[in-house]
Amino acid sequence: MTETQAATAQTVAGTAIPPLLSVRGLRRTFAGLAAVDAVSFDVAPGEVVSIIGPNGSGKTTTLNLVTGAIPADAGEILLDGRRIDRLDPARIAEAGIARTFQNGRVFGALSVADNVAVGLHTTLRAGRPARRLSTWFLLRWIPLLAELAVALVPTRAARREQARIEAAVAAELDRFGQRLAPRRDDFAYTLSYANRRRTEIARALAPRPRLLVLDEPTAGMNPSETAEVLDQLLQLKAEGQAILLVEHKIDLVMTVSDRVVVIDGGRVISEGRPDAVRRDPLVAEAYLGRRRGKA
Amino acid sequence: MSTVRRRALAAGAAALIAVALTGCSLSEGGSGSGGASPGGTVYFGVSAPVTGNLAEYGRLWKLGFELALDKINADGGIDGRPVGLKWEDSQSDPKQSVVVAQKFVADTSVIAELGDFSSNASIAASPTYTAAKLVQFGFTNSNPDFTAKGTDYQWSTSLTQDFFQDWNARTVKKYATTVSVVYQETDWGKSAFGFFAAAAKKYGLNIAYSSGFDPKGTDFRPTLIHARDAKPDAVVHIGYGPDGVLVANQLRDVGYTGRFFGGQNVPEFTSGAAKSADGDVISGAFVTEDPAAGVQSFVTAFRAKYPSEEPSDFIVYAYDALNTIVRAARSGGASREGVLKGFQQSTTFPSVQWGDFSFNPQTRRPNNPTLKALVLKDGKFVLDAND
Amino acid sequence: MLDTLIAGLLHGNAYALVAVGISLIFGVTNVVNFAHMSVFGLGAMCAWFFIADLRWPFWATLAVVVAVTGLTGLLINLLVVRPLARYLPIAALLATYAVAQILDSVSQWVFGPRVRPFPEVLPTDDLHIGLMRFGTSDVVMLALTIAVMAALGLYLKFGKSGRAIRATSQDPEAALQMGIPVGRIQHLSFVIASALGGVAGVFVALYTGTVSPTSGATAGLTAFVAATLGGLGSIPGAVIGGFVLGVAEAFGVSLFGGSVDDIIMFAILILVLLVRPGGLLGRVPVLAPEPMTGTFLGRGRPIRLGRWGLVAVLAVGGVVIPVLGSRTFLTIGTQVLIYAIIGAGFTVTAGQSGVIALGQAGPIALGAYASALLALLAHWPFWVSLPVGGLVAAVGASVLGSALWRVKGHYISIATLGMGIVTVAILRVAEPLTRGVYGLYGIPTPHIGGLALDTPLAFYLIDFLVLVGTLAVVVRLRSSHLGRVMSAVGSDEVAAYASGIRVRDYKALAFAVSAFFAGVGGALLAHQYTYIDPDLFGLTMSLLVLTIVVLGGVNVPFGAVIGSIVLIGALEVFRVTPQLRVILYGLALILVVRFRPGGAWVRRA
Repeated sequence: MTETQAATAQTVAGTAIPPLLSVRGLRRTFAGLAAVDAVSFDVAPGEVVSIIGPNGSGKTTTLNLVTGAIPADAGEILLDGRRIDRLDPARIAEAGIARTFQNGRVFGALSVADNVAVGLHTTLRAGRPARRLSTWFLLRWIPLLAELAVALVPTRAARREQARIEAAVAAELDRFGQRLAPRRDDFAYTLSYANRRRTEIARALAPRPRLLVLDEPTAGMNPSETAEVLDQLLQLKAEGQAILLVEHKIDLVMTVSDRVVVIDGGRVISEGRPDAVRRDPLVAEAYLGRRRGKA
Repeated sequence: MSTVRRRALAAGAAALIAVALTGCSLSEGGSGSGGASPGGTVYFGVSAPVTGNLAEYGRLWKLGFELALDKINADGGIDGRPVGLKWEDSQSDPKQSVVVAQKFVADTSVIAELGDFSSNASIAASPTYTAAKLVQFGFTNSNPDFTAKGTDYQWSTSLTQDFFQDWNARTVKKYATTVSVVYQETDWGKSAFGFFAAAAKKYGLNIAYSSGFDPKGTDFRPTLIHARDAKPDAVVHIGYGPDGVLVANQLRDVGYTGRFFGGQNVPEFTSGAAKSADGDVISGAFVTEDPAAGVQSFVTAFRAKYPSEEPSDFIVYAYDALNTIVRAARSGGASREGVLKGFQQSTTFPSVQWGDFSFNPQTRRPNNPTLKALVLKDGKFVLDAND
Repeated sequence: MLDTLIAGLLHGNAYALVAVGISLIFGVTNVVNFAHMSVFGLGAMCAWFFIADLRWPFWATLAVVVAVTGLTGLLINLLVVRPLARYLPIAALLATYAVAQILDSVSQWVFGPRVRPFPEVLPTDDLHIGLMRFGTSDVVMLALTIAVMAALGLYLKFGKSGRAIRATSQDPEAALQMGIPVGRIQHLSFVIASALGGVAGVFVALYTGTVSPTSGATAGLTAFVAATLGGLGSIPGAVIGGFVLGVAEAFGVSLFGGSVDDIIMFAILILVLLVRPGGLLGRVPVLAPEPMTGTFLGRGRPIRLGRWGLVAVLAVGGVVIPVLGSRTFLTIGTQVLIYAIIGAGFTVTAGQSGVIALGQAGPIALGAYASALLALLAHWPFWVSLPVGGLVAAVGASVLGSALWRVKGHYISIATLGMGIVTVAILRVAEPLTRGVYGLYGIPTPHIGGLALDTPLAFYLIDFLVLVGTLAVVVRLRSSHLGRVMSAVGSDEVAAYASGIRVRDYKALAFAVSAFFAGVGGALLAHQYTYIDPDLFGLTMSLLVLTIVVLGGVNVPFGAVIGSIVLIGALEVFRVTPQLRVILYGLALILVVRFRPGGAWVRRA
């Protein structure tokens, strides 16, 4: 089953190049209940893949597993062919996966600009000397203390790097036009809901991730704000940004996605091009049907 | 006990008073150095635990000081000037006693200082008093270091622990040959135990078990089980009154039936451990039935002033201390230099504890002091007939 | 062995009964209620008053104690906890500490400070196992513990309001939306828990045989640890925690002597938290919940001094006060400055990395002892031993704290509290070096050439310069990338981790930085007091540091200066009225927290 799926994925993507992200047989249980069970899918470079499914079907858990926020019980996750399922979130971020959260987790005590700058943490070199030792027991104090020293007495290289960060932050904020730029020095906790989502996306995009993971980026947004996000997603797609998206707004999903993965009860029940998935009777029954029933 | 009830009623009005006092205190903020008017009141500073867990001792001091003060001022004060006390609450905390010291040093109307209660609070403040040439009279500081490591400005009427514990070990030896010892795990308790152990060796008293205990604790049974299991003739407690009650009672709880030595002659101990510590022998500064004239006039005056209180050691210490320092000031002059001169040149000081006594100018402690053996009978320490 | 076990169980029973109330309140309101110990003490004193003084029968007295302590609990929640918890849970914690101080002082004032024998209303030594005597009172207490645990368990599971209590504790907002009267439920649990605390006070007084207004404080800390150990919010957990600690303490003391009980208690706590971060029976969510609006620590905008403001502050602090201040004023000033140094450094941990550490007295003690010993034994000059004291504190605290950073939320507060106490306990035990409880005397004061800098003025100026340096470093750190990273950790750990930030490492680094300044502050204290002993560095000191920082604004280094002036200054101003001093101090604390919950140096947003 998984192999056929993988094969489909590659044919669907229409290329022979290896997938960017490859998820195989992922499983996670909470208190004995499987929230995610035998989930497998791929994301090819430059591809936009959406995960949809009813509430509580395991979408967000899947994202949390992919980004290392919670550890998987079983299964493999590969990024560029490298296993990442045993890595902690920081190393996964360093490997090139950046994410946003369902409710917009911004750093409230920091300004909008500083929020974005923090997103560039993984790209720092001069500001974080000897950072290769960061994962070693005890030796990790060497990069930590070096970082402290550079923070208090910056080297010339560190100052140049800081200037680069400021520029990158400005560029990232400009992506959102007049939405964020005027508020760059406001504390993030003062932001509106929509602006929090934007700040979060800017923070995730700043380090130019190989894969952008978005968890319901338009939740709580009105139609015009949603349309804005859609434009930005299409723009990113055009730039070749690979995206893994969880989203409830079906129209947006159908417009932006290359492929759609449908999850129900923690299992993949359908997968394919948006139009194919839309026609899949299993999906209609399990997901769309239930949705209609609820409404 | 009626005071308790009155206070319970008054507690309701506390908030009101609080607000009023805040106003007062703010306006009083800057009056650091007043300057002594030549004919005005002569002040002694008292650095004491008025609040906190040692507050009971501060209360006992107050009883003794005020009784002494009545008589001193009735006798014309110092050179015709009335005598007064300036109290500062240190909670007997070294951190706060230093601030209190600065305050007294800056207040030129204060000619000498009494206290603090615990030796470490006093020792911490000593450099400040010494630098300002203000006599620091640590009359309850039994740690020899207070005077030994101090300067000409540190004086004390308290007997030192080496003296106390030598007496203690000698007395215990009369009743026992093997003992278990539990002592407060504090600077005071540990050094006192050190002196006790040395004296025990001298007198051939065998210490079968010894252990410190945390005086802030409430349950000493695990330690006392060991003390019991060492099969001693007696258990010796080196500590204060409140922990003495617990140790004596809990010793009985773990099934120990032998003799108990320890505690203090304070109401907290005598009322709480009346049964469990019956027959306890300790050293005492005084007993009410002592026929000596000084003791009897003190007891009479005390009972007249405080009908509901019982005189005890810490009241006597305070009473004696104020009389001693006033004698020094009367002799040397009502000034900071005068008090020091008085201490150094006077040959006799009055006291309830020993009658007339003198200071050893080297140790700045009393010469040839004596102790009385007291025995606990029916919840009261009385002179030991066997002594 | 058996005797020790029995002693431990008897004592553990007392802890368990107190811990139940703490756990219940935490479970419903998410507030660690420090006032619980004082309610416990109040219950015991009330019982003494009605039985020994008014000669009421025991059972009538028990009813009065339930009424008085229940009402006290209601008032605490009504007047202090509820108004504050909305702003900042940590503010509520500190306010309950202030309430504790007030209650203790009022009780001490009303009843007098002395320890009194508690009347034997139930036989306390009529039974025995082997040589160990105990009483009907102990049996009744055990029965009470079990009954309370069972009754609360059943009530929470099946009772209508009991189920509402559980729902409220799990998600107050959702509970509110479901029509559960959250406010009333919280009041109810405060009443139940406090009445239980009062009754516990009575039985524990029977057990120890004595009672005093401050008796709650001694049993209280262990009961807190017991509640945490069992899992905050879990009633059976609290009971198990109480018994575990009672027995472990008994055997620890039996094996190693009376001075190790603190070390044993917190060693057990930390070990348990490392294996089970939510305590024995507690649960922590897999992912920390997303912070809701209003719970951010740094809510509000720090007031900016501006260039001229800065000049004015420097001029007043560095010139006007030294020239005009009296010796007393300058002595108080040195204390204010030292605590401002410690507090400003602590904003890195409490504000930026969001760790509400309750054990800063630990690194302060390390710095003080290191600098003092280097000066005393190796005759190092003050100017060298001062920074070295800071380094020793940073290294020592980092080593002792290294295991803690995976613990979260309130648990890390209690764990750091333990770390502080263990640090001091180690200094106490390391007697050959530190002279243990005897303390160190004659620590040399600073010198320049042959000139002794031992006047209040000299101390003040040294402290002022160190404070300016501290603020410069801390402000510089805040504005750097590293500072932003640390603030990100404090704002939202999960999001920070996902952004590639090794959260625990940066918490450890922030803690080390704070510990450095705490150590420097400690070294300054040591050389200015010229005397230190382990008792100086108690829980009170740790709480003072935290209070200073919360009062000024956890995220505002300069706020620590304001907090220090208010708290240390207030204690001195109120010195004119010793009886009411602590009460006024507590009231001032509550009022400031109430009206400036984001900190004194923070504008409301």
